[in-house]
Amino acid sequence: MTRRAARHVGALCLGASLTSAPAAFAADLPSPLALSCLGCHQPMVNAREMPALDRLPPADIAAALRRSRDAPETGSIMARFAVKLTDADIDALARELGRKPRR
Amino acid sequence: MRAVIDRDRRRVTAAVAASLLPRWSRAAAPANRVIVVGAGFGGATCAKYLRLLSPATDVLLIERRADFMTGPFSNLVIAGLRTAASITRHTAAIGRSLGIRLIETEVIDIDPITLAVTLADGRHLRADRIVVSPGIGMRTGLIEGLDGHGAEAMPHAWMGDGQVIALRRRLAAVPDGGTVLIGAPANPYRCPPGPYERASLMAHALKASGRGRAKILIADAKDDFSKSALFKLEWDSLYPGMIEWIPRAAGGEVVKVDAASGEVWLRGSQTPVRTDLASIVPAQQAAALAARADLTDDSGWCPVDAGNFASLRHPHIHVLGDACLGAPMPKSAFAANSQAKLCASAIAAALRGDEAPPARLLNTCYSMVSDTEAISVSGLYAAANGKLGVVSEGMSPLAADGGLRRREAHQAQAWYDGITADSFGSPNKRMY
Repeated sequence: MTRRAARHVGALCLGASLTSAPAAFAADLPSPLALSCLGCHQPMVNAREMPALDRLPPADIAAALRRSRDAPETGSIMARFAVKLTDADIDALARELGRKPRR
Repeated sequence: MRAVIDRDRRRVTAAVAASLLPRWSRAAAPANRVIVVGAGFGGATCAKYLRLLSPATDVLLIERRADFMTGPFSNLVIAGLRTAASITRHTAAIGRSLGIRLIETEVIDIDPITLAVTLADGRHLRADRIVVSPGIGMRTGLIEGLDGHGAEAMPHAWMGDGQVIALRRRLAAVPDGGTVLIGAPANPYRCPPGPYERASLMAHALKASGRGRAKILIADAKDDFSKSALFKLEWDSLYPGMIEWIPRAAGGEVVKVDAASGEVWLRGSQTPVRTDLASIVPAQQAAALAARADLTDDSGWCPVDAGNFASLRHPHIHVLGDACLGAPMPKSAFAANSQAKLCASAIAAALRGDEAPPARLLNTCYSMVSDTEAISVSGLYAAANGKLGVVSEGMSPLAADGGLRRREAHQAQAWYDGITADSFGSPNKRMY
């Protein structure tokens, strides 16, 4: 269990170094907004309510964010975050936070 | 089994902090020293992410308390729904978990010009940048009789110390038919929904223990409050007749107390309210250290550039969390955590000579309204030209099916586990 979890977190950190963050911020570091998502989406803690995003394909995260923005569930916290995100915002966050391809 | 899982979680968290730090780094830069003062949600998070984003930087975290209780979920402890141990964080363990050099001592002074930090043991430490996340201080002299012994007799329990336990003990002794008074302060203050969550959970504790005839008065120094429509709706539904909110306009402001008799005087009234328990949350300001370091303005809080949370008075000092003027973000744990990540990113970028990162921040606050139901407020914020603005914000709907409040309570538990793990490095045990 420990090893598996460590791999997940490793994927997150490794992935973070591969992402392209929005704007002119250093291209190999996650944006502050992506880091803020980790306040809830922590590995090993919130698997059911708030999944660890580094285990999910970026396409799944992007699709979930678009659903939250375009067809929000009543009472969803994510809808309040997503309502003003652009498609470019969503795709960047999904890349930064999602599972990374193996190198 | 649970013990094994918890042990594994701790190991995982420690392993994350220790072994993966270099992976978020770019090429090593010349060593700079950043001193972070305060290991609460803002300071601990900032130190952690500075290590991750700028591993060549010498990060030193300084905290005066050996341990503290988190503000989030402290009302659950007061209501007897969670143990004090479950929300207690030990400073030494934070340093170990995050892989950060930590000194447990008090910072006596900060020279904002030379960036020298003076410790209680007489040491002087120099830094290239200082991050200050000192929390709040209570304003004294505004409520007659409250300072000194009065504050202990009518505990606010707003600082994560022994008052939390004292208030739980006092609540347990309130008789059926007794009166509890919660004094709520004027804005701005730490945890805007806190007094109202406290009223909800006290009502729950009283009702659940056969004391449903007890009354809770909220004497308020303002005329509106966070999530007010939601709270009022839930109070009518869950605790009919038990909670009465007295706004400022109706004479709700507490002006005088008698700690010995338990009497509380509200503005404009000659007759005191006789209480079995009073919890008076005073008006607040940035912690005293912030004023000593010349970081506060006339408001008593610290003005900052919202693009990186650098002080507007001394730009090589950054101020995070409750102590800063961060409106429209509330003074919340999650806001401090989010500000800390922006600040760490901005410092890391500046030390490398890179452009500042895009300044976008998040906040999420849950308030428990019973042992199994919760409401929430959350938002996305962005800075432009140093000023913070709301991008999107919202709260739980008033009309909710029976399941939504319960789902939000489950999310609140997960939120607490997540934000504390992210900020302090090791997840808490689930205590219920």
